[in-house]
Amino acid sequence: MKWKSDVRISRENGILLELNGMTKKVETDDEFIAKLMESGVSDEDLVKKVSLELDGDEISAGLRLGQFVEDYGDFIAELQRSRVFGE
Amino acid sequence: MKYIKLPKVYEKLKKAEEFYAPVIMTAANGWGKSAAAENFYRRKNPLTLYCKDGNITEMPDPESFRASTVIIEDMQWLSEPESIRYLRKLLRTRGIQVVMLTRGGVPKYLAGEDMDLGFVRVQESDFTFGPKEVDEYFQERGVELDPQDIAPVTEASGGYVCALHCYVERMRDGERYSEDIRAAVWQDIYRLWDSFVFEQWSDEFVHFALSICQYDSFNVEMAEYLTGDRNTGRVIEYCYEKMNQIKYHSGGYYSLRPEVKGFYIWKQDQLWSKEEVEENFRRAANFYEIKGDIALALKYYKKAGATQRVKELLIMNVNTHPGVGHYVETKDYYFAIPEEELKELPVLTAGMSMLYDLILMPEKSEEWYKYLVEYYKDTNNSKERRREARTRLAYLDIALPHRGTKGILRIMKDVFALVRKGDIVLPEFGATGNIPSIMNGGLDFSEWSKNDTQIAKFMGKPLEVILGKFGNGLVTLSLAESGFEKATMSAYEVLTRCNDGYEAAAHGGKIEMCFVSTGIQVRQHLVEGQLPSAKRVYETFCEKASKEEARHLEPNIKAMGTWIALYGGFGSDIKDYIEKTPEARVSFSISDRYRQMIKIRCLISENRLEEAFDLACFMDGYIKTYERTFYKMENDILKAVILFRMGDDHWKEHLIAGIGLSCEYHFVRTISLEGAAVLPLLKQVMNDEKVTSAYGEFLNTVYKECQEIALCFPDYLKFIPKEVVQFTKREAQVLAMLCDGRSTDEICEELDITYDGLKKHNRNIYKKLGVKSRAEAERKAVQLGLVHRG
Repeated sequence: MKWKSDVRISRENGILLELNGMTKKVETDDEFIAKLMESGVSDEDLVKKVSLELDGDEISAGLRLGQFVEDYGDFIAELQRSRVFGE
Repeated sequence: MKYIKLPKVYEKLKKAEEFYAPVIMTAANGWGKSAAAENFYRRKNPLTLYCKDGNITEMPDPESFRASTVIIEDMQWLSEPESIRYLRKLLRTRGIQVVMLTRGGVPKYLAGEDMDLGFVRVQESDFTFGPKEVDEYFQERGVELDPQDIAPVTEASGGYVCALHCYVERMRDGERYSEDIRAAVWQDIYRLWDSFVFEQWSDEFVHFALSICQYDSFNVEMAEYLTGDRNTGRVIEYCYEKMNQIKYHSGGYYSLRPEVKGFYIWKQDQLWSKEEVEENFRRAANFYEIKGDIALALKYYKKAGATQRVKELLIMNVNTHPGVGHYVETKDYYFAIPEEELKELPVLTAGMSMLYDLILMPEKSEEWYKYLVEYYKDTNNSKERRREARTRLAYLDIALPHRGTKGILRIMKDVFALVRKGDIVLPEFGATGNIPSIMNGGLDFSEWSKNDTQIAKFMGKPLEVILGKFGNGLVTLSLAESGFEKATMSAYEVLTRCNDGYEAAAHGGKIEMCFVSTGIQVRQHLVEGQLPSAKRVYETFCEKASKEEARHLEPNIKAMGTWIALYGGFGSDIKDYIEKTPEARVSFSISDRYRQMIKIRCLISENRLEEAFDLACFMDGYIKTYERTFYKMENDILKAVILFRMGDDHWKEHLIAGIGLSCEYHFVRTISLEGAAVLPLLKQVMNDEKVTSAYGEFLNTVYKECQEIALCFPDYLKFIPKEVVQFTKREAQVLAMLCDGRSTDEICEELDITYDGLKKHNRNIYKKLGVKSRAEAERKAVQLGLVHRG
């Protein structure tokens, strides 16, 4: 999972995403995911693993990450379908 | 009194007489079989034999007959072998014509004779009195029937001579026909039947008839359940063959003839106690409950006075997903229970919240949701009840339609935490709303399509766990549909994914997901111009749904079939679909949404543009309140098409709104699948620089695909007018160019005609259309579907 290439991230009073005039503040609960992405962790399975440690189970982790994608989807790069179907 | 000859009866008897063919008259009691036979054959001095208790009461040797015609009365009672042998011998005796009168049909034991000898059948419909005969009947009995009453009496009596006898008596003193007379005549008929025929029926048959008379239809299983008699199947067979009192319908169902049904209800009222009647209703309700027909179960529990059972059934119903939960069908029962009683039970409070949401009252839905919150917070309520309330709140948080999908995953996460702790147990969830779509099914997931692959990567497992069987194939189908709508997935990939999803759903999943797969495949095939493939996929699913008795899907399956027919330009079922789909402004629940959107298209194709626009405006209310992005796009496009055809310039703003919203999601197919209907509109906006610069690449993609689809299905939503105005070839050319906005000079140049020649054609066109100006001619031509704008 990666930010789109021209997303700008600023860190005054939390994490703020900017893209083509659009801005969105990352909620406190979501900051750890944003920081993971910033640190270069883009593999979904790795992100899920980290989330799993926080949430305790696969289902909750998946739901958290799904909500993250919905909330910040405009700033997230598209994923290839092969990453889902494993082709 | 003079016998009133019935032409059809007379014609058949004459024909039979010519060839000495046996005659069989099949009609219930009171249609005049005996009178017809007596009248026709009187000059032949026939021998009349009677049947009773299984036998022909007298069986004289045929060699000893003086008469050449033998009439067998009441043949429905014949069952003893010796009498049957006698009858068969009679039929094959030369020089004797046999005329059989029966209340049933041709008995099985005469099948051979029927085939060899060719029975002439005189049926009930042949005995039916028409208006002429009715008037004559009254006159013969010295009663003057007002000419205005002839038609209603004929219709109300059904041409049944026994009924006419009663009408004559009731109207003897100059009474005019009225509903009171009609009701009174039925009572008279019942008394006649009671005195003449009721005693002839066996106790077994009477018990059967009284047990099933309250119900519109029944099968053998139901009849056995109601009578408590395992031999009821035999009774039904006997009744069907010998008594003409029941009709057979497909699927093993029977019904009592309406007039006979009324008689038995009347008789039941005389013979059964109140408790016996209620017990009968209770049995029927129980039967329907076992069969899963909640609406009928509730109806008959209510008639049985079983109010507690009604409540229990409503509770059971709430535990089912709204898609199959029959909330709307049961709303009258909910509203009949006092509010305070509903609030005592969390499950019914939740039911009210869901019900209000389904009937477009989200504020009331939230009101009942609040009652449930208060119930949960009230520590005076028992721990179990509060847990139940918490469960219901969790369910509503996810499933209430008007709340949409925003933040739903966060809610699901919190709910799942409660499930994991064991605080609540969630009822079954669904995602489709019985619609052949997952992105636009129970809820609108268009937002998710923006990051469909990403969400699918994370959500696959959670959804399968939370949705249970509904999760089988869900992720695969969601991606297939999202890719299809955005035209980012090849046809091969869409169809492969759909097949995978279908298989996953078919094996251990839900048929609703198979319906989703079918919907996507059908749309893909239509985009490819493959109508036969689309139909094949659809029909295969229809077969599956029928086999699995997925009745809850029937309305939307039918809607889909109608929509497919529109691509083929088939007109025959469209009117029927329009008439049978409920009027949205009279009664609408959100489960009707798919059918109503198809109805808009049907109305367009029938050129009922005002009605189409009215329905589209009605749907706007639902679409806006319930945040249905997909439907918003569709509705804007359809409104644009309607206004364009009406010659109203506001079409453009709706089209651009539809394009704009579709572009935001890159949903190509919500526009392109409207093919030939939307193409003329798109052609015009392609010349608008402002529009093309705003939506450039997306619009090009849509336009190109739309052209291809229109080429394959040129008659999609095209109005084929009934009244055809005949133009010459030249006049048709001129009219098309007028409607295309061409100037006089352009028309003359292109058609190589003079100005005077064009004036002459215009005059003829205006005359044939019944108009006085060019503008009127254009409007009328579009209205009649003679031209499509653009």
